[in-house]
Amino acid sequence: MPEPSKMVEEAWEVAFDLSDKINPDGVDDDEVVEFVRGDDGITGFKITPESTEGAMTQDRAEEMATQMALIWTWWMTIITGNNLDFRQAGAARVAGSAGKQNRAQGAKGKSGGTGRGSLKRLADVADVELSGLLQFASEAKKARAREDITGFILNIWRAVGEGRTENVLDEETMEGIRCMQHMLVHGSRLDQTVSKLQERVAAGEVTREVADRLQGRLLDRLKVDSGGTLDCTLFGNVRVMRDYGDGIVNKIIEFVSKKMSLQGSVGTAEKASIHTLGEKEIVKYPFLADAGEYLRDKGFTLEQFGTDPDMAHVIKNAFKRVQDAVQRRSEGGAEKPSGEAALPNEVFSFLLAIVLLKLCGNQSMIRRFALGEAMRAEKHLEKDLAATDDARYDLAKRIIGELFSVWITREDDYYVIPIPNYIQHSVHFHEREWKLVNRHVWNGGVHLTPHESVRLIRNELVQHINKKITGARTPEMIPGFEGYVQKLVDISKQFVVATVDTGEYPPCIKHAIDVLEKGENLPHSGRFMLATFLLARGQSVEQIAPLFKNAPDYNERVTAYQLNHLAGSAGKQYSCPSCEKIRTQDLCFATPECDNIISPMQFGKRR
Amino acid sequence: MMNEKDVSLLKRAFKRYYFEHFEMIQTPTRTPEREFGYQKFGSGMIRHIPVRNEGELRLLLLQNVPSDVYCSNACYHFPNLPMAEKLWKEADLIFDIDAKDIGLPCREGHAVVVCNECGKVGQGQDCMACRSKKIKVRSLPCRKCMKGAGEQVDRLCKILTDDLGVDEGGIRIYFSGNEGYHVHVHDSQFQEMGSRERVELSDYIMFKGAVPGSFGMKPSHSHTDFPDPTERGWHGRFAGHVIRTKSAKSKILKKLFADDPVSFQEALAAASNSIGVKIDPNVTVDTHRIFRLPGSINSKSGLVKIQCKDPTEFDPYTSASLLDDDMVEVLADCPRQFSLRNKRFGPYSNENVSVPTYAAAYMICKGVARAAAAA
Repeated sequence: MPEPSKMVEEAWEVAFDLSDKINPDGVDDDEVVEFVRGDDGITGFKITPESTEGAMTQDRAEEMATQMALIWTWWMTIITGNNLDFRQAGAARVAGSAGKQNRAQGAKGKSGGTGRGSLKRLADVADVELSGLLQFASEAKKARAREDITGFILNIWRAVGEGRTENVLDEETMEGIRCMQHMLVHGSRLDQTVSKLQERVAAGEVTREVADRLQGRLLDRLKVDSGGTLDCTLFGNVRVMRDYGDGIVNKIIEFVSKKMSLQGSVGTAEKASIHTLGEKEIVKYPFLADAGEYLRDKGFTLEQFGTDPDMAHVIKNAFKRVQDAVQRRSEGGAEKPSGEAALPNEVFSFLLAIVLLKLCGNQSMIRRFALGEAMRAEKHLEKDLAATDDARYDLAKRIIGELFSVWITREDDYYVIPIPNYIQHSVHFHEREWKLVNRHVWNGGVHLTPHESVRLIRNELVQHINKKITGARTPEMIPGFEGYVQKLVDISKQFVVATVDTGEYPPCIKHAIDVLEKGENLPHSGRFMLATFLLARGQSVEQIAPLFKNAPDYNERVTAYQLNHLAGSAGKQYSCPSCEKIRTQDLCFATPECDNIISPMQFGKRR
Repeated sequence: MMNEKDVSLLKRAFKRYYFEHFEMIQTPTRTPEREFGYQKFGSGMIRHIPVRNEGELRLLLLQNVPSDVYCSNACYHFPNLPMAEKLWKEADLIFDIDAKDIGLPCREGHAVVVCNECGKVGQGQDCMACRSKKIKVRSLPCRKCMKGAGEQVDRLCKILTDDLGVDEGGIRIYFSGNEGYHVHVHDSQFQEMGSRERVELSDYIMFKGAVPGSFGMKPSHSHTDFPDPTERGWHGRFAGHVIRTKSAKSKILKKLFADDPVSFQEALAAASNSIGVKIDPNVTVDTHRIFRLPGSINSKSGLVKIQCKDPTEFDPYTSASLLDDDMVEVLADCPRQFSLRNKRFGPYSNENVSVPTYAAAYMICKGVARAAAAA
């Protein structure tokens, strides 16, 4: 594979070559350039003085060439896993532009020619058929606008380059490409693509974890509200791609899977693990198994469990498994497998538990079950991680790494995780002992016990299992299951929680108001907190402004401007900071009434 | 509060500095990916400026003669677009250590109070002349303050290298141009961390949020898990801080582990105050900040943000005063003596004096002098 940076340069060069050839003498806006296609690709082009909307003018041709260079860059990024730099591309473009001027001078007088040579070079490098590119080139004139594709694709491109240095396409990459395809082919907006992504999550085709990361990059990092549009002027042209995207993207996927000799696309990482799992491992981590496949392999059907008296204990165990998990009981007898024959029954009880939950259809039951199962798996992961047996350690390490992107190394008695990797997960914990300051930290790593290492990914594990269940197909009621399902429905009734809003202010807000009323100085961060809190509680700028009157540096105009800004005059309403942030800013005066809330907004909303 | 004459004196001096000493400006790495911003005298911040290279930066400085110049710690795909569309890539880790946050005993004496309403200079809580409470506190820090801040920088760097695994070569220390230090960390494993994640780093460095349970407090109150001073990271530092002498160890621990966890928690909080590094967390957690450009002049003092090797030995009043020394007349009302480039100035009591430009600029920036009519 050639150097990525070289490929970007080449892409630009080729692109400009092409636009050069299309326009050797300068083409007027109302002249039309058309490619002449032979059996083996473009054989030339003709210029006709005809004014048709969307025709191939000089601008159009250049735009098209630009698209080609861009596509090329993405393409190579996806293939190599390297984060190719658009700036680099831009620099090359400048250089290319200068070269183009010269070439244009030299080529004056000539007309006709062929774009084929340059296209061929493109194709040669990537081992891709010429026709895909030709299709792209000739259909470019049909372009229509869709501003928000740009930002999306840039992020997918980022996604691909980020964090995955090895040239392996994992689920996330493939899913990213799929999103890109979705937008290109169907012209979906960001929000539509996100909901599509969610649909795929619900259908179990994408893991929640991956979807969340992709979506996070789409929405959070870009700060794009649902349906919002991006106007990246520089790459506004990329919208052109929409119309010819299908062929290109399919080619990318095809080419990439061929190159990497991957069979499946989604969930490759997970499946790779499963293929190496033995029966004992599946008992420990049944959520790694494909339910249908497992049953088929063992020669069973669901109906058998409901009707065959010899199988009655399995469905009973499954029910107990759900019951234990949702009622937070420690695992009962189902926990200890004895003898080889007991192993499949263990796995069956997990699979049937899912069937029961699906038939019951209660979301909070599913969540509780997933949590119970996650904690059960945690114990196994912990033991495997601590095992002196290298194979067991490797398995646990691989599951944690591949499913949850936490990369553990063993160092003496410690299990070490790079600090950023650790924080990525620990920030979601409210318990203070997970704060970095309470950890053993040196040489850039956090030093944990096996128990802590596994606890770190509990949320992700729960989500993973939860996703497995919500994504599973709901079967028709199976004879023999009705009784258990009814019992679960009865149990589920206890999980309804009502909340009451007392309307009181939390202590941090009271303190901020106190400070202002006394005419003392409240730092900027405190004013921000107060204003965003009150705005979120529904107060108007006019209601809030007088609070700041006593501030030593009060200025009516500035205050009004700032409040309006926070309220969203510039397009984005700011939200109230979290308790964590407020603590960092020394503005937290927690009382027992705070009751472990994580945002002042939750104060007083009692269960 | 500056008048036109003040501004024109400063502008002339700043322009000359940028013209003659452009080599002092450190054009940041990956310049085209960064957002630049600047302030002109007496006007608001101009942001979202793209700068492609050193030449463009030079042009910007000489054309606009800004009072202050900033550059983002972040790299973006489109630094010139509005914030939401810039497409954030990553950001250098940055720290701000300010002498006024360290709580040194000498601080009180440095405060100079400038009244927002009548412009009089004085000391104390409110304006002596008009009793207005709307005052601005400016300070003329001494070498002790800067040394105190320098020691904090030392501690910070040690934690960065020992605990956080930052490569020493990636750390750059700068005098901020006014009363503290800025530390820039390039190419660390933290480049791509978001703001929320950086809170964890800043709390770590400040030793903030430590809980007794993680530092050896057990429900049984047994002392066996109390860390040893030789341990790495905060565990060792905290133990070393608490147990000053070996002989007193059991007595100290007994007190620490007294019947409720409050005393332990208090000890941790006190340690945060004394051994935690006093960085400004708002700066460190901000991944979109535009931060003072190395080599540029700080208009709060007229001194330059310059790089320094050893902050405990660094003397900004000799090294960072880089404006020219042409004599100019000012009306000075400076109640304290100060020294720049090894020359002493003041105190002045509302008098016309002729001083070198660098000293005049320092006083005008601090609000304790006016450009004289003749200047």
